[in-house]
Amino acid sequence: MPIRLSPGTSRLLSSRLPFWVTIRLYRRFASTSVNTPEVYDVVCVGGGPAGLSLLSGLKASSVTSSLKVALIEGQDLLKNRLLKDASLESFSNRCSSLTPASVKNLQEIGAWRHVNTARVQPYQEMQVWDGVTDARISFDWGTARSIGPRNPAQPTTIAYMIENVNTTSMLLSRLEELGGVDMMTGTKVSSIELGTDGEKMDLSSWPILTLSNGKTLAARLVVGADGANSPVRTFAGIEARGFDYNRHGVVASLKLDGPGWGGPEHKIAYQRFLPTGPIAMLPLPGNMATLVWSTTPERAAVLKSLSQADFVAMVNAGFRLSTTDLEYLHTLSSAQVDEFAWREKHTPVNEQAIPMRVVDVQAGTVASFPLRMRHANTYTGERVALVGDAAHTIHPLAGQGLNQGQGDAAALVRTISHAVQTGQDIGSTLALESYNSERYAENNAMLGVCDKLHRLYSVESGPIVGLRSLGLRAVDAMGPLKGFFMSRAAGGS
Amino acid sequence: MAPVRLSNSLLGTFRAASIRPANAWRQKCLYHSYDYTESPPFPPAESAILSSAYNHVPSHGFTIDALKLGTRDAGYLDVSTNLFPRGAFDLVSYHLVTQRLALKDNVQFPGDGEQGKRMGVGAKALAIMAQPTYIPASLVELAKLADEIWFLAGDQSVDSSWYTKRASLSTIYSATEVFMTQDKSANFTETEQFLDSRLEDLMKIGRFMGALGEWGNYTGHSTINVLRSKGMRI
Amino acid sequence: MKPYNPAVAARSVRQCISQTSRRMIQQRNPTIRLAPASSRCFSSTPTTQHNPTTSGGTVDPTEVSHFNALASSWWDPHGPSRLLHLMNPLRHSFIAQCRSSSPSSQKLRCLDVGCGGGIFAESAARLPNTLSVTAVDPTPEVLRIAEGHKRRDPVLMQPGKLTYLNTSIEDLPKPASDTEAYDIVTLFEVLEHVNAPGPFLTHLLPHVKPGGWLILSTIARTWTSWVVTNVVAEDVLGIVPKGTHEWGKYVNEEELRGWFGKQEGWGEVRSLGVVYVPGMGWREVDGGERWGNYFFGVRREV
Repeated sequence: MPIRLSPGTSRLLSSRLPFWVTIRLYRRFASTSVNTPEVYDVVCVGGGPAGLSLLSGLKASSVTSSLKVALIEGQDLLKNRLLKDASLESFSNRCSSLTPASVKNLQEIGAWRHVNTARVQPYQEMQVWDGVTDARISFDWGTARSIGPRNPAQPTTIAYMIENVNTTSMLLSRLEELGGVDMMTGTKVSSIELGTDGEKMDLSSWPILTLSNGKTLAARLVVGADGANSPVRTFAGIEARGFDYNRHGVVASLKLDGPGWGGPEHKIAYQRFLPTGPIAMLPLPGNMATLVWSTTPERAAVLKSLSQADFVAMVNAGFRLSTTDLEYLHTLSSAQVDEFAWREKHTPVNEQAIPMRVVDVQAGTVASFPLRMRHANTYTGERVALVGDAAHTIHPLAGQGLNQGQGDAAALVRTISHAVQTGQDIGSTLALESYNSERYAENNAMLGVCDKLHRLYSVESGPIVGLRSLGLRAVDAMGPLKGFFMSRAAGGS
Repeated sequence: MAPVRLSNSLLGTFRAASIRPANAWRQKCLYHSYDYTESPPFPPAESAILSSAYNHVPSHGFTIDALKLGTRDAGYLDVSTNLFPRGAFDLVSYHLVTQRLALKDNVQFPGDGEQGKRMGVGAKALAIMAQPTYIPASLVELAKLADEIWFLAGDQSVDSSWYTKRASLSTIYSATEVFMTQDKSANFTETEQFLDSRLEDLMKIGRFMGALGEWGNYTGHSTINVLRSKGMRI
Repeated sequence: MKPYNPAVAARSVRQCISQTSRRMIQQRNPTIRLAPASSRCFSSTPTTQHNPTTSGGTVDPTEVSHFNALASSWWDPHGPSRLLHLMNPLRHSFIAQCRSSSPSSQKLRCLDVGCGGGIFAESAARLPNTLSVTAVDPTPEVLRIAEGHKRRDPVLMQPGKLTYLNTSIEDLPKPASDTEAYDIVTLFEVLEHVNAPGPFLTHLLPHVKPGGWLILSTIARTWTSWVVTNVVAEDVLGIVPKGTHEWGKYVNEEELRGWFGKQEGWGEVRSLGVVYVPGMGWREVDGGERWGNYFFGVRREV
């Protein structure tokens, strides 16, 4: 089959967009081709929280509900769904913190009422302290002051801990309720290419997706919601820059001694900044909690290999012992239980200021993932938009990753909605400009902040340690400033 | 007759040494290179005298006396010390050059068990080197030494860090030399600790600058991307 | 491309000043008028000030060649037509505003006169309450681009949805009956490019169905509009291609109101001033129709 540059691509070459791929080859389809691509308005590649939220938003809004949309997801979504009567004694180790703004968004698209409420844990307070100096800041709306008169209806919840599977199940239920989405689950995208300029239609600027089951789709707009190594982003020729932090995040589902020092109605999240990375304990319903411990890859490997009792001892040590003791414990390959028990006797600690003692870890939930920061050069291209992790990957220390994806999805729904109302082609770069403009700077700022926090707290000694402790204590003392940070982290609502 | 012939030949060598062939001038470079064979640093007569004088350094120090004794040992007239207009500095220079060239035979890596060979010149030599007339020559020697050390350590950088590495090592070496002049500890252990902490500082700064560069690169690009997202055409 | 002629502007400006000063003595109006009072010629014959066509029609050949040259970059979102692209959503909201006074749920037939590359025509054809769009333009090269771009969207390729005709308004056959006339006739950024606006509009009126709207956008002829659209936009910032606008051809909103007031069977008039702010896009401005870009809608009475 002859290969040639289509006339469409020369226009792309001359386009002044600096990040568009320069050469695209295509093959001429045989005239008796079986595969005339089916035309869709929006094809969402990736069925994670961001992609599902986007589709729910599109279908829930009256302006965009008549668009023809498809979802392509490699995993079988229905198989991984959360069961309604799932036991509250065991929780998945992949949990995320949903900000009030994200929850509001989910309520607006009508998804929140499908959530398994018993497995969602709102928390009202956050304790953050420096592992080296013990300088502490506590976030809760009781001690924060907002600039200007405080809205009495302002909720006291800081955020909601929810398992990722709960989020996706909720959105799937909403999509099933709304209908109108062609769900192609269990299929992967084998290739994305530009179309041809045929006699009837000029599809040379349209992405044609070929699936693993042989189907071809022509998409007016392809949305890449397919995670950090997004193939859609590669197709669009968009580069992602950033760094690898040389850290792994160790996650686990833990059982604590009790429901928390504030009781079941006032749950507290804890984060201690150790020099190798923060260790965070986030509350789940009942006596359960989830752990996110950012540490070096070598230590993460050791932690994963420990027995359950030793792992529990290490987690307790992470919140109780001094950094030097902890350093020593990390060098042991086993029997941390005894070592911790002995050292604990000699370490005075204010029990009420740290999480309750961990008594057990749920079997099989200790896992780790590499931490890195990536930001795509842009979120849009010709007939391409990126949402969620495909667009940006962030350090988990501020719990913002999932929320950024939800914000992206909501903004893209607004952009598509406006384009449909004014009769624009929703895939044209002009129509998509407002999405990029709205989200890029905001996400960039959040990524920058988390990156700087990580670097700031990686320093073990020197003047910076004293300065950051001073800064932390100062912010703790200034109610309005604290309130400002809390409202920004909650999604600026 | 013999002394006249000797001085003639000496002067002849001297003259020959001073009129270097043109291409040798062009080839003179300040760093080590496999493509360039460095000509011997001292002409044969001077070299002979200096090597014999070197043996007298432990007893007489870096002085003209040592030079005189050396010329006698080498079989030259006393007046041959006029071959060395820079006097004691030439002896110091000889010491530095021969030690530097001998480095590659003496290089030790950690874990070999043996003690490394100690290098150092002592306070008197430092004082001689610090005299204003000799400072340029001393600095050249220092640079050559730093280059030699980095080369033997396996440095293969081809960017600006080539210069910064040699500059920082030169600083550390000079500081350590000065420290050593007042070090009274057994076997100069304090000097070793001093050197180790200076080298550790260097590594920390190197890591920091590397991370800073990476961060700066990222921040620059992301600023441009933010401006582009707002519609600026850049 | 006809270059901007400062002498023409100076002459017009002098006329304006003398007329304005006379007007101000006559009317003791305390508000300062920004619009000079010289009138755009609404007579039945085209003026000799501009290049007349041999047929005595309203199409100016220099304008045609100017737009032919811009044809290939019409749909480049960052090209010379970017301002037109950015203005398009406002056109739709203005049309919705006009039609809100007499809502009806039936699907609409639209006629877009001077459609250019089809920016408005395509967007109107995509709207759910549009039955069909007919778009006419005398510039052949630009229409070729419009047809080519239409093929990129399967929705627009539906038969009868969007039709392009290469003709001038005089040559467009008049509708035989009211059902063949159009619910909305649009004339965006055209009036300031025709030789004689009066005869031009007269040709247009029969195409509007009773109860339908004629919606146009153009630029007022004032000091401010000269500075904004000629000096700043064309010369200083370069966001509009040089030679696009000739200040002498701009039409004031009062002139249009007056003209339509004299026409039988035309009633409700709406106008909306807009201004382009670089970096922020087009913004609605109260009273902007008196000195800058504006939309103008007039309804044909039932």
